[in-house]
Amino acid sequence: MKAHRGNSMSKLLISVSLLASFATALWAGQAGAQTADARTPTPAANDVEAQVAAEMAAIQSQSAGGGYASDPIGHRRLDLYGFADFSYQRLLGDSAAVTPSTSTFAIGNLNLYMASELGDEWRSLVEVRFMYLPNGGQTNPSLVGPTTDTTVFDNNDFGRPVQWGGIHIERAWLERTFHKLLTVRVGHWLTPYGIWNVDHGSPVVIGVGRPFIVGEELFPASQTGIEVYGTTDINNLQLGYHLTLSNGRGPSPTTADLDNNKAIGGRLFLRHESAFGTLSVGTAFYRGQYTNKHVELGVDGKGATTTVTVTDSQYDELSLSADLKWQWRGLLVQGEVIENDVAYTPSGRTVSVLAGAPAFNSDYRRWGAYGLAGYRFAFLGAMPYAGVGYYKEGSSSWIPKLWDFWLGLNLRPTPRVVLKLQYTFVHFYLDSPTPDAKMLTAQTAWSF
Amino acid sequence: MRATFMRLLLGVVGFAAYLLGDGAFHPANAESPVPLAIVVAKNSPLTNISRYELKHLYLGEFVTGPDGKRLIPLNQMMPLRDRVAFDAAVLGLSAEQQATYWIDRRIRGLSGSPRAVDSGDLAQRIVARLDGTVAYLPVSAVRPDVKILRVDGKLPTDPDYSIQ
Repeated sequence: MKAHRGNSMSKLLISVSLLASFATALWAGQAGAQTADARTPTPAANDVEAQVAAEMAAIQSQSAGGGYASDPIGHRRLDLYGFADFSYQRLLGDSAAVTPSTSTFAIGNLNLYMASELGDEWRSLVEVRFMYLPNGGQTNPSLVGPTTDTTVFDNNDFGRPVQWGGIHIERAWLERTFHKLLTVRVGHWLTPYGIWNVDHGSPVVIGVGRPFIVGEELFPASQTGIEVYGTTDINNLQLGYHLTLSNGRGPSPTTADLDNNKAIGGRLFLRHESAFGTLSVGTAFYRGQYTNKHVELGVDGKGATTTVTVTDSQYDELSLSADLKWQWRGLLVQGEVIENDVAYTPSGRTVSVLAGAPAFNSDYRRWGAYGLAGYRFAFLGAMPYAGVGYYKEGSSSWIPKLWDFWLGLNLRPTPRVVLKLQYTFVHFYLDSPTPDAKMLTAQTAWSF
Repeated sequence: MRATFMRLLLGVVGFAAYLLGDGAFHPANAESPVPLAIVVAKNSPLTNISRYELKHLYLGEFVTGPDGKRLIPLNQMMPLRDRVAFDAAVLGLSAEQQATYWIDRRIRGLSGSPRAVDSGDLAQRIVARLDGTVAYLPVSAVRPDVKILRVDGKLPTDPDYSIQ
């Protein structure tokens, strides 16, 4: 019993000692923490300060609004992103006027963007399109004749055949914003006209392809030179402008202007927001001279070598356009009207053999329009859409006139993936009876 | 039979309403909405901003203050509650619509989304020290070293303040 009592007493003493030690340690710890609080910031406070400092440095080193920037220690970061699309096209019925006339799968675009905020409102963007072309392409605009074959035999793979492709530089520019009303961009840029040309990427545009008038480039799709643009806001109204000076069109417009006649262009637009959605209207023009010429060597009467410049083709052109876009909740209505006048210079008029016998090409006007309407539902991001287009070039063209109609469904199950299914009907007005083209195209476009 | 038809009809109408709406079912909010204050540095010349300017600022457009300097928007990370509320109230965009908007904008060759930070508190600490930055956070969390902007002339304490 004694032993048992002694044992219990020992346990009690041990317990009391432990409790006392724990309480002492707790008190000492709290006191120590309070002392530390009074002397230096806690690690948590240091973390917040470090975060604030890091974020401030990052913000200061970039322009506002840019998600891509240089890091605080000054290493430039390149932002790589892009888009691609894959299509399946099947002709319905006898549609021999359309190439390819067989059902086919195709990779259409594989575009890579390289963007960088350079600090102090400087910004750069380069976009390249990786292509399987020129393999499988045709050099004749009428798409007749043999296709290009780029097959070579790979030395590093037992001489097995490989088909090489190409790269198309879509744009490469540098810009500096001085004021909301003034940004100056130099390099190779998309021509600022209409809606479709600047929407540009297959995940962004509604249909599976460009409307015919946009694809025909009544305005050049891109130009090389200087672009100035800006906007201003008055209440809920935004007014904007673009002015351009470039080499204009030519056989190599990104590297050389073969005449001293620079092309000029511009765009004015206004956008109004109200309870009835956002309404944008715009107009654009382009004035330039196309010149294609080459130098030939010759010998004069004294036997000296001479050079003669031969103008292969030269014409002045004027393009005009108007566009409208209305977005209200899920509703989208947009349309563009575009016109292009071409007048050959006396020395630059070309000869055509399209009509059978060779003849000088006459000046011409081509114009067209398209309208598109669709409604985007929340369910799978589904947008049923319909559009109609008209294009007239005149009797000098192999397609004097056509109209087309398209009906489709654009699904956006996630923001980065777009699925499209489109029926297209095209009626051609040709000299010889030509069946209407009817096509079914499925496309998936994705951004990465 | 008639009851089955009516149920079917109601189902079709309900689904159509869902499709025509924004696609989100909105249960009654368990919490009452909290006014979000728009804050700038204490010494900023900016005192008022319109909803139109605020929307376009956070949609990546160029918006300037009274001194002509560019305003720099600071966002909060998704899916922080204040971010979701701000996007719905000011931008009128769901998270998915906003993701689509920024992806499309980048493909068009335009600038990316505003910088997002981990919390409203971090945002206002930056705003307090960096001129030109703008942030949002619950009015109850605003620290004394930042200034609350009027939005279309109204403060968060006004009864018809719309950002919440």
